[in-house]
Amino acid sequence: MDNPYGLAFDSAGNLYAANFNANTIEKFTPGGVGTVFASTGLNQPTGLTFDSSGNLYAANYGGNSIEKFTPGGVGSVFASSGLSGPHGLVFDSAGNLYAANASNGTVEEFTSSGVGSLFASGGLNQPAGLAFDSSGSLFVSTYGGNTVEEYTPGGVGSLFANSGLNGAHFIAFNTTVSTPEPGVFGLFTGLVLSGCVFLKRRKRT
Amino acid sequence: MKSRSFSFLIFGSLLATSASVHAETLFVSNPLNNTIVKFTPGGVGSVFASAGLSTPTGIAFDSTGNLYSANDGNNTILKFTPSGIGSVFASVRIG
Repeated sequence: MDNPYGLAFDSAGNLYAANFNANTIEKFTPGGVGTVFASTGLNQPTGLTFDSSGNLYAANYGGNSIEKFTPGGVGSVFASSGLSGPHGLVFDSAGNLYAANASNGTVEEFTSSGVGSLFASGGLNQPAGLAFDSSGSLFVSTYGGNTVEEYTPGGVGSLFANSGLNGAHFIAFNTTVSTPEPGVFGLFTGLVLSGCVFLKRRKRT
Repeated sequence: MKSRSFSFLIFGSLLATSASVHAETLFVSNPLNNTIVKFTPGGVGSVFASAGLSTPTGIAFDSTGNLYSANDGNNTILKFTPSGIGSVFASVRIG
């Protein structure tokens, strides 16, 4: 590794890391064995993310572009306009790609074919990390402002958090946590009570 | 009786649904003070991890809820269990 920045998992559980200084992307098996996945088309790569087809996208902070790699590692330019120091990348559920432009304080949105438009601007001091919550709101961390902003799907922003941050960088939601005890307990209780009622009814008939 | 059993089921399902929504926690890496903090859906923050971190940058979760952290400062990737216990996942330079 050489100054690793963005991380992303593919659907098979392999971890990819963007090496900012070496201009490479490394791939690690779940056991931690690494190989070079890509070494072309990269210029200070930062954020990484996968689309639903398994293609990997890398933000080129130094090259103001986004490179797209097939699962086999074949690269092509996905977008090269509307980008200024791109950092975090994330897809929405409809397949649009969002890029945080750290150098000009904007978030750019791209269709799946690479057509860009401005999604958010104003009040973003070096936006760095991007993540969607399950309700479709986009969260944006600001490295220079030490905040996390929240945007509705329509692009209306509000402050989510501004404490405990020091160079707020990449962000991620933990959506993989299994339903905790109260939920399981509630479901279990419901099932048991329903079962009791059912048995009681059967006994009577 | 039938409607009662249905209402129990719905009650249980609602509890399960609300609980899983509340489990959505946002994690942020802080490269300038070597921490990873987490925020509740209401925006209340707390430190998740600080040990072993050296200018932490990228973060990502695997499918079982472990958090991986890229460290710009010492060329490592650390793995943290959901409870915040860290270990080195990768550190060898290959590219």
